Amino acid sequence: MNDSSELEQKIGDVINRVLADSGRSPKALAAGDTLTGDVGLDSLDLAVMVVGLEQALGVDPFRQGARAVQTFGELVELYRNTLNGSSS
Amino acid sequence: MSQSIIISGGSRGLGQAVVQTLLEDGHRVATFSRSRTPFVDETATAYEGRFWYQQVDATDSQALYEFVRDTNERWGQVDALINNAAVAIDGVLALANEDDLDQMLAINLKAALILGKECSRIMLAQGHGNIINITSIIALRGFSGLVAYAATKAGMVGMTQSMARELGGRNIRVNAIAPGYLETDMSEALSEHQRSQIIRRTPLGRLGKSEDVVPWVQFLLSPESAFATGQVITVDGGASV
Repeated sequence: MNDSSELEQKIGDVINRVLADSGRSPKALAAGDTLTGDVGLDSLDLAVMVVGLEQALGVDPFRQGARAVQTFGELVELYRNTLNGSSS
Repeated sequence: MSQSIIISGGSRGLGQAVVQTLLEDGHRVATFSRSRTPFVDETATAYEGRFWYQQVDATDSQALYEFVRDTNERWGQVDALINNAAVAIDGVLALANEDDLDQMLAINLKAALILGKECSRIMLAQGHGNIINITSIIALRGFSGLVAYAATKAGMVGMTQSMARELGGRNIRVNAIAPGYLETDMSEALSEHQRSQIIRRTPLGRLGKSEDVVPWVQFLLSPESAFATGQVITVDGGASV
């Protein structure tokens, strides 16, 4: 689970599922991509994404007080830290 | 069609009547309250598998989260939420006990927001949902001795309208029902003078009953109300006219 590329892949899959559910094409995500700008998620998409990530990864850092992040890379980092914290 | 419905405070009063009717209609109903009542025990036996009850303190956000999560895991979806749990502690504001104010804000308003948050997450992910907030005519017209209660119920009106705007595009409807004074445990505290004053001001000449409100809940849960969202439906025998 802590393997970086595996985590990135899982988070990317959830984001692409959110895009697909509303008829948008999947994207190859880069660390610097902004979630709302480059990826094109609106605030409700982000909520659906967080629910999807909670189901996929078993954690929700925002429930634990985390603030919003801007980029895909920051999102992956946030979940990595949360997973590392919850398993330690 | 059978729906999976969460209702707060379904062990007595209006909540009990809503639970009973929705079970008779064939829905799955999950409810909680601070204390278990004989109604809960009887219903658990009569509707085993379609009725789920937990003793939950509505001021405990973590417990509310777990209740919603467990309901979703149990039935695979949450089609509707009915925010019904409330307390009314009367007395003039000038002499109000601060703990009483906190309790009313926590149970009547914050718990409704937390349940709205948790259920809307599920509803967004599943692509549909329906939220009904039980407010009160007092939110719209005021009532001497119930200032804090009125404030919490008026908060629910703002919550209803804003959630309707926020979630409408995702196939989630949010409406409110504002009953007048009902013949429930909550109105037992009325003095005879207050009681006759309310009846005198009500064109239909009586206090409301739970049965007057339940059909509006059924309507808002039904496809017939599919184009209604952000509305506050007053059911008060015309008292507010």
